[in-house]
Amino acid sequence: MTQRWLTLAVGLVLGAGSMLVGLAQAGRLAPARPDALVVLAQTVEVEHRRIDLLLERGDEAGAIAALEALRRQSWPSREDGGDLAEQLRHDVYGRLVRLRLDFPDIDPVTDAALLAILDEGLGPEYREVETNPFTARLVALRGEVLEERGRDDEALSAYEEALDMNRALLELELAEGP
Amino acid sequence: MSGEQQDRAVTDPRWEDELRAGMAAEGDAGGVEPELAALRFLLHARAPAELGDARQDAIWREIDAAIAPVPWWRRRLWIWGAPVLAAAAAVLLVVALRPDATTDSGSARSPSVARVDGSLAEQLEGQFAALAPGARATVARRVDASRGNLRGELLAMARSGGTQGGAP
Repeated sequence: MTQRWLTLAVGLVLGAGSMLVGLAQAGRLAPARPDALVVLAQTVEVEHRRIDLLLERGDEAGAIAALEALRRQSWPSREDGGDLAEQLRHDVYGRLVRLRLDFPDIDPVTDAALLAILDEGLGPEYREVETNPFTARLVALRGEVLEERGRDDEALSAYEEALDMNRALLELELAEGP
Repeated sequence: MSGEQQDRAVTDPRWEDELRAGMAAEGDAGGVEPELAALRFLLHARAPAELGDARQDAIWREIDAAIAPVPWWRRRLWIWGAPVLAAAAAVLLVVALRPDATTDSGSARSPSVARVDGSLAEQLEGQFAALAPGARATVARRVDASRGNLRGELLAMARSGGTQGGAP
């Protein structure tokens, strides 16, 4: 009888330990190729600064062209670049779509093409990526485009999904404290 | 069939009485509704029945109600979106009131964080503006950590006399 309880206790401890380790690693896929992640992060950072300058000069067309060029580059897979590479891609695509929505007359594209860009940027595994504001924004932008196309139900789902992500981020920040 | 029946027009309303009487005589077995429907159709074709004004008004009211566009405040997006909007405003207020909340340097829009009176899309954009700076800092810190790990691995490899990618 004692042995049975002991086995149960050991099982509970091991299970709890596994759960804690799993939760700690949840959504955090480490990059298999950190070099790819480092190069990508440097590239994106430099491009963001260049786009900031272009926007400060009022050159929205140049900013959109720069983001389109960045979009067409080869992005590392989630396995190679980890979740951070996904976040960097979502940030770039979010900025591109935001600019395209704010300046629809510059190099205009259809809503369908914008949706295709959004889906391309989000990728098939975006829900598995560690919750972050860049993915949430891209999902919200998807809702915005869907709303403009009159697809209200899908738009609402996207908004709710983005809001859930932001709510989780807020709770995380509040839990971590100042 | 009698001569009277032969002379009678098919639209004569007496057909209905006779059909019902025949059905009753057979113990209400079967049904005569298809035949009666055909008879009523023929009667209506010969002398179309007119609807009363009240009935006609009622039908038009039903049609108007069915085809009238749904007002904006009754659209499903608003019914479900309004509570979500309120929640978004609450989240945004909390985020905006945080002492270290800063603006989004990566957005082309004017960086006003406390936009609480716009659409849901604007609310979410405002949330992003509040959350993005911290997230960018986190990404940069973790990329630095990856860079450090990479450097450590390369140093360890060099010390152990190993090669990378077949290089001499």
